Amino acid sequence: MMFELIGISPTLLFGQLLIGLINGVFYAMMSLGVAIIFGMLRIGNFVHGAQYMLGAFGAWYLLNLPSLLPGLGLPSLGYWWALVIVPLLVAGIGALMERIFIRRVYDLEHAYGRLVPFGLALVVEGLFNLRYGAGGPQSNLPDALKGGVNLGFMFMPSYRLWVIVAGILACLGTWYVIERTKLGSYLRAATENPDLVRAFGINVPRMLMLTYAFGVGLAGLAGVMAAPIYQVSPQMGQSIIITIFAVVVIGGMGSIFGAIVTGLMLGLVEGLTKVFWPQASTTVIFVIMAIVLVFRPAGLFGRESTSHHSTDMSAARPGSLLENGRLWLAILTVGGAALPFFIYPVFGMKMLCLALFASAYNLIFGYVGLLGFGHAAFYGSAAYVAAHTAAAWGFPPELAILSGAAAATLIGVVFGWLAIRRQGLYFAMITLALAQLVYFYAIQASWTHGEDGIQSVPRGHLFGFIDLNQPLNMYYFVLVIFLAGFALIHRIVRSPFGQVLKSIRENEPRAISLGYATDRFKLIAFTLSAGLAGVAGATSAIVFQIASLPDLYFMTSADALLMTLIGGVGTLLGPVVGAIILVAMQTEFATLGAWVIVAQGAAFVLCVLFLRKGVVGTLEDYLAQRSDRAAAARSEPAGKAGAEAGR
Amino acid sequence: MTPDASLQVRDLHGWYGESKALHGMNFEIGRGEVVTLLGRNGAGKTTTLRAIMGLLRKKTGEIRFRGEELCGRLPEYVARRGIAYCPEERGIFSSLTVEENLMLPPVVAEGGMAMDDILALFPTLAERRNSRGTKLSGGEQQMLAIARILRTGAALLLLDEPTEGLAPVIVKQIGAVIAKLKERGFTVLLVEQNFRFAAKLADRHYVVEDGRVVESFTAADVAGGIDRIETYLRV
Repeated sequence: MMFELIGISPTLLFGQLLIGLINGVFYAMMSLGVAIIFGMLRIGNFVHGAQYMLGAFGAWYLLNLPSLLPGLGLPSLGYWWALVIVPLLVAGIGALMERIFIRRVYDLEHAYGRLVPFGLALVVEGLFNLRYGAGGPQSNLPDALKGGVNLGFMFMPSYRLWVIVAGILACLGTWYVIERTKLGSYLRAATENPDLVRAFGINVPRMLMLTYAFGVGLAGLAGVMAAPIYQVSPQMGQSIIITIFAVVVIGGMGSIFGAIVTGLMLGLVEGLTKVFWPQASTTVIFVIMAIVLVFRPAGLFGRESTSHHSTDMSAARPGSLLENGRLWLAILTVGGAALPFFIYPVFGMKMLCLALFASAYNLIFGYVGLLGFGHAAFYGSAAYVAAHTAAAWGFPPELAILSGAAAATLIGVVFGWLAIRRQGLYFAMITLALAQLVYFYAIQASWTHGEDGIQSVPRGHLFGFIDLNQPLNMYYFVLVIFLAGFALIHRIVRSPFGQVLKSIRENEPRAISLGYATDRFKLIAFTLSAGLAGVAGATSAIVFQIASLPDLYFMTSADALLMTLIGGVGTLLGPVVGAIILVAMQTEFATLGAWVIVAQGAAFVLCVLFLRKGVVGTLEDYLAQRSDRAAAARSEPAGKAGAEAGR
Repeated sequence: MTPDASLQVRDLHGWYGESKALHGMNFEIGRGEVVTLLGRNGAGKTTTLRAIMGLLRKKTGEIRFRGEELCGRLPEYVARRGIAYCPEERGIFSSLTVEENLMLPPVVAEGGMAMDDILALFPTLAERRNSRGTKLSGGEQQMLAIARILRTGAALLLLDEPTEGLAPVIVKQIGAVIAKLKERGFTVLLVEQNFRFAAKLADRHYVVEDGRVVESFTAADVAGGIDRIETYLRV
């Protein structure tokens, strides 16, 4: 009766609820792992999705052992074997990752605990992408779980029932171990005060490794269980991990039970949305995240205080020659003007756009200490708006760029307003999730032309009379935009406003106690950064005459981060140097296709492990040391001479 | 050197990052003794305890416990040799119940106190077994922090200012507990600023200033030297 009233068939409703529940089980298992790892290790496990993918591929590998390793006489191991072996293998890989890479960032600024896993994710997924491309193998259902049960109102496939039961049991088992056992009390105690737990005689480093391995093993288990239902592909981890982060933000990571409940609930909500408003089903979780952030910033089950702690990763030495803005503005002007005589203008314009993008990102990351993963939203949306206004509405290039930047600024206000409610890892996850929302919008909206993007954007005539189809005209226009942006950022950073930003980065509670409304400062800086990133994105749309999905993809955010990191976080020239290196790297790897992702992932990891101050920061250190030595050498002979004269 | 010395610290230097906190500590504790480190804030008392436990990484010198060199060992190793630590901030875990807090430190040797004996020593803890650690009063937290290291079989207890910020009646109770622990044969290294409290309990005292021991005396010396000691401790 009721179903007829709302015009929905019960089969459809229950079918979607079932799918939702299954998704929810995977969300719960994954977000549980992320929450445990973050709780214990303070690591934002961005590689969780890749580890889930490893689980799914692992199940498929075991099934195909005879053909993968011919000649060894290995049997084909089916689903049940995979269910036991693969999570252990994935956990083992996790333990190795912890041992080799992640362990080395525990004593560093927490933000590095987001960068290393992120880099590892790019490497792992990039390698699988190289081997399997976008497609992937299909995994078979285990024989015992073929068929299903007729529940009267719907048909329940056995395998799905199994996934729901097994997944929930795995979650509850985890909850039990952590909340009710001795081992769990060690874990909880070590979360609070690892030093003291060590001083009681417990080997905390080994426990951290095992905890990481366990969380990762849970992802591997989810992967095995997902393999027969979803398409096994190198991308399967990427698409789920951003949703998982939104789930974690909604639930808050204070409670194990909360993570499980939130995961299941959001799966169901997603299923229901598919029934009533199919187009919104991919984005509903992100929208819920935004609503939760407005009304309950700590999350539904969140217990932790929203403590104020920014990330101070700045590598700059204030007095350094390399931080002299006026000098370098002059050098960049001259160098930039000469550049097209040495390299292709297109190449130069790409560098300039990316350098401006990275400089804008550095404003918020380097100077305010907010590590966001969502700048693609500003760069990409500005590119789309500029391309659209230029192509469809016939805007001249300067107006198209302005409209793009205005759109990015608007989005920046909204995203900033939402994201600065949370700190640290949450800030990174929220910006990533919000950017994904824009990405999904661009896939679905009609004016963005889906996969094709907006092509053949006219460059037009600047101010009505400078023909930008002339490469040099275009180049110098881009150069002027870059220099203006560079000068503006320098001016902002040196202003009293910029000094407040730096004080927030160094010690936010102190800045608050001095009477600054730090959230407002952060929001203004975030918006400025978004607007400038928008200028870069809009300009690139005019230069390359296209705006397409990659501009909005999270890899674009990763580019901004990587450029800043390689160049030197918080330095004047770091983003510029980073842009040159990135463009060179992308050109170098262009012929090798997907290797560029692997290389970028490796660059993240290597930078954090070996070049934390970036190229420019390291150079500034070197110059400072050299001038110290020179000063010491000057004073020493003088001292000696004085002593001898005295004799 | 006393033949049955339990802990000997020789020429211990320690650093927090660039700043040096210990400048050659020298002292020793015999088995079954209660010994205090007295001194003002910042003298290096807590740092000494952290160095013994292995929690202070950057250090040089000798820390011998029952003849074994522990300088450079990790905290978990030091604890397993039979040294237990009760930190100044008490370190009660808020996400654990009183009972879980009590049961947390693993047993490292035979001869630890039985749970019933511990609860007899701290009757209030028995009543509050199932409350969360942070629901306790300051005095109860301090008792819990001491109680939980008695189970493990550790022979040497490092107690960091157990009376700090507590009401006189509680201080008295804690004093009684330490006296009982001495009777039971525990060796205790007590860090204190409250000399009047420590004087009644300890066999010997070391006065610490600027990261080194500047004077030592036995309980018998105390009566004559009390003015001098007060001068050291006066702010």
